[in-house]
Formats: sequence, structure tokens, C-alpha cells
Amino acid sequence: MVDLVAAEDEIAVQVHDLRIRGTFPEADLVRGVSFTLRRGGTLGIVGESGSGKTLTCAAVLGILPTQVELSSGTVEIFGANTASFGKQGWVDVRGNVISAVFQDPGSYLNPSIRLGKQINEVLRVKNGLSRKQAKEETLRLLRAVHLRDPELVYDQYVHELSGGMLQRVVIAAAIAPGPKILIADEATTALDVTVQAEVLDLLTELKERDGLSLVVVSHDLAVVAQICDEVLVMRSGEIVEYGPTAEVLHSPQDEYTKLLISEHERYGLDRIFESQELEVA
Amino acid sequence: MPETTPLLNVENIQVKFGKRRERKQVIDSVDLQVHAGEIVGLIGESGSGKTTIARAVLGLAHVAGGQIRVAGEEVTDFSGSQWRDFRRRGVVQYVFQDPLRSLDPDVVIGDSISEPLRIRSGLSKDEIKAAVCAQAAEVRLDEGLLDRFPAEISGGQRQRAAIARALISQPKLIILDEPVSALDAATRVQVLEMLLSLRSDSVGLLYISHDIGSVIGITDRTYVLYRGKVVEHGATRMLATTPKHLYTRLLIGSTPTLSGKALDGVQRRELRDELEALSV
Repeated sequence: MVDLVAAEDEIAVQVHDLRIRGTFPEADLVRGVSFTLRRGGTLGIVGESGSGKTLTCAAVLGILPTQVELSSGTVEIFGANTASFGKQGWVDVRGNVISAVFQDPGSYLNPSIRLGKQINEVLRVKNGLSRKQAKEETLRLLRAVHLRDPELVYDQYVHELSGGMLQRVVIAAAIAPGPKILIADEATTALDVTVQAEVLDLLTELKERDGLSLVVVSHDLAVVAQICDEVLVMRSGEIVEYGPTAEVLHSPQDEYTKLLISEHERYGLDRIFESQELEVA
Repeated sequence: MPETTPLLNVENIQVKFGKRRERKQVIDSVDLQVHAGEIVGLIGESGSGKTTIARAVLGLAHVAGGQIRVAGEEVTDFSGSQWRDFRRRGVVQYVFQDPLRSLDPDVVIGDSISEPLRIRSGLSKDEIKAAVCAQAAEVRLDEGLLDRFPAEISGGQRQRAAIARALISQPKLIILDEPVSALDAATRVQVLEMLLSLRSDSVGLLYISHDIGSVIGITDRTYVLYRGKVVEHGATRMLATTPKHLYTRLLIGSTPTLSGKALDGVQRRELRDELEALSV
């Protein structure tokens, strides 16, 4: 087993000069991406579709699709170079150290197995719990992600739950083995705004309570601005802007970042916020 | 708001889905007006009935009660042939979220745009061509793209083509159903700018979206739909700054912004609980 997570290690993920190549057709999809995720930190990755944000995450998770290869660069998870992992190494790392949730929660769950059982399986395989222990732990996790009636959800199927509830179930499964890093790749994109806010609140809570380090990928700069301390803006496979959120928002250097900000200022709620305070609460 | 007869006047409509015991009220007593020269927003979460209202206006959903008048014509009791005739005249046009599916993949963009004109005939080939080029220019669609197929141009260009096709019939009312939701930020800004440039005294726009961001940016008035009912409506700016209904408050307070959120998680949870207690 790969020995990971030295207690004093302050860097959760270190990506250095990552280059990803598509083999068919041949093209450089990600070019020279470097970033650092500090332990307990929250890094946001923003970019339009095809900018390479998901591929970058796939490289960090070691799940690049077959027609795509890592041509150079390194990914280190808690100081360990992932190139040295091998099959068993990844099995030990995924879930236990780094985990991920994606856009469409329904497609990551088995439609014909009860939801509780699917989380049980993670706990029994990854943590070696007994059936009874696993059930107790699953119920605790379902409660921790603020599902209203954990016992009911435990026995339900995918089609019986809404998108927001399913995303909570998937998050519960992702954090079940106690990972230190969670990648949320467009995890709230398909959800209604009010539900998106709930899921973002949940991620923030997990970060604060469990010290989870987060990578939040989104096409919406405002989502990232809301929960991340650092932002990385990608375009056409390259990083065009990278820095602390407040700095990027106040003095963006790149044209594309400026455009993302001006969209909110011209068409979004920010247009009204500038001139007056809200009276929502 | 101008004190004229509205272009679109939806009065107290009811829409129900399903049969007998499983009959479910999807739209409950909705009133909605769009005047010429206005851009009106209709916002709500998925399943709230936004698209159903639009479909009712087009005669695509059965209206169980109430009245719909479009440009002075009472359409609620139209027969099939009356609808066909009405649609042919192109008084109302509809723009969908996904232009890749609403444009025929086997027809080049220029022909898709000119189809409404060809149906009504009376124009020569050259006149149709000139009209298509003029329309493409209005939506800022490059003339060179007219010979391409939908799959060969970008999402933003496709959406502009779909809007050009809607405009070429010189409709009085255009219904835009999530027209920018599938687009990237850069193209979204361009399409929104173009929509704003369409504002004129002869046409009314109904802009349907779940995304308060774009609704704030381009609409004059907004209706908030929640579980099939209009829970609040008014000038968009007022609605955004001083929302009255619990759902509107939750919606505004949940929308992420660059300047920080309007509500924190605890406040939102309280609002949500109140809202749930209300609807039981």
C-alpha cells in the first residue's frame, strides 16, 4: 500500500506543468497546467466547455480516458507522485485519500440497488466494516449530508429522489471512506439555484468540519467565488489566471476573466448589488 | 408599463396533466401579460410550469380553464385548422434552449431561416435571399455561415440562427425558452446583447429562464412561478431588491454572486422551512 498523508504534509495536491495529449485526433488538450491545493484549502477551476478543466481533474484522479494521455508533468497527492502508484496504489488512494463527485448524480448510482446498500458497499470494501456497522455508518452519513429522513432514503431507489437529494447521496458515498480531498466537478450545475445553494453550503460545512480539501470545478465564476479561497481560470487548455479569489475578482489581468466578471456585473444580480443593499432576509 | 391592450394576455389559466384520479394541476390560475415593446421574464425552478405556460400559449398544451389572447385574438378555443393557420401567419415564434435539436440537422442554416417565408410564398427567390441576409445581419450572424449545416457552427451561432428564423416572420410575440442556458459565458453575453438590441415597439418578448442572472440583465418585468402559481410579479429591479414572497426571497438569496451571497446557509434553511410549512 502506498504510504500517504503524513500528518504534517501541508500540500494536498501539487500539479506541475501538466500536459495532456489526445491521441486521436492528435492535439494538445491541456498545456502546462500547474497549481497547488493546500490542506484544508478550496481551489476553484473556472472555464468554458472544452477548456480542459475536467481533463485536469481526471489526471489528478488517474482516470484519464483511453484516447487521451498524460504527455508530461507531475501530479503529487500529499507529496507522493501519482506516476508511481500502479493499479493497487490507485485503489488504495481513490476513495480513502481523494474522491470526486460529478454533474449528473443519477448516472453514478445503480438504478436497481437501494441507495443505502450502495453506500454500505463502499464502507465494507474500503473500510472493512461489518454489515451492521456499515448500516449504522451509512445512516450517520445520510444524516450528515442533511437528508431529511435517512431511514427512508436508505431503502429508496434512484428514481424516487430528486437531483439535489441524489447529489447528497453521492456526496455521502464519496466521503464515506474518509477522503482528505474532494473534487466536485460541476457538481451543482444541473441543480436548481436554491438546491445548488444547499449543496454548496454542504461542501463548505464538510470543509470546515472535516478539514476536507476541495477542488470545485464550475463554468460559473460566482459559484467558485462563493466558496473558494483560490481561483484558477482556464481557457483552451491553459491557465489564463490564477490567484486568491478576492484578487482575481478585483483586479483580473486576463481578458477572459474580465469578460466573466463583466457578465455578472452587466446581466446578473451584481448589477443591482453595486448600487444598493438587498432586503432578502 | 404601457396602458395598451397587451400583446399576450393570459387570464386565470389552468392546465392539468394526467387522467381522472391521477389528474394533477400543473398550472393554477396564472395571469400574465406581455405588452409590445416589453421584455418580460418568467422565472421558476425546474418543474414549476414555465414551459407549460409557453406551450399553452402556442396551443401545444390543453388549457382546462381561463383565457389566452394573443395580439387581440382569443386562441383558447381554436380548432386544429385555426391553430395551423394562426401558426402559419407567424404571429408567435418560439426559440428553444437547444438549437441543435430545434434546427433540422439536414438543412443548411440559410434554408432553415428562410423556411417561414417560403411557406407563405409570394416572394421571389432573390427577395427571400435578401430577407435572409438582412435577418442574419440583424442577429449578427455572419453571412458565410448560411451555407453550413447546424452541426458545423458553434452553439452561439446556432442560437442566433434560431432567433433569426423566429424573427423573419416579423412576429408580434417571441417566446424565448432558456435561450442562453446552454451557452458558454462569452457567447451568452453576445446573445443577450443581441436580444436587447431587438427591443422595439412592435414586438414583445417573453423570456423564460431558471437563471435569475440573465433575467435581471434583460427584462423589464418578471413573473415568479412556484409550483404552478405566479407567486410574485413586478418590475424586475424591485423584485430583485425587495422580494416579498418567501420563494422569491429564497431564490434571490440562493443565487451566487461575485460580491458575496445575500443570505447565509442558516438563513436559507429557515426560509426553506417556512416555505415548506406554507405549502403543506
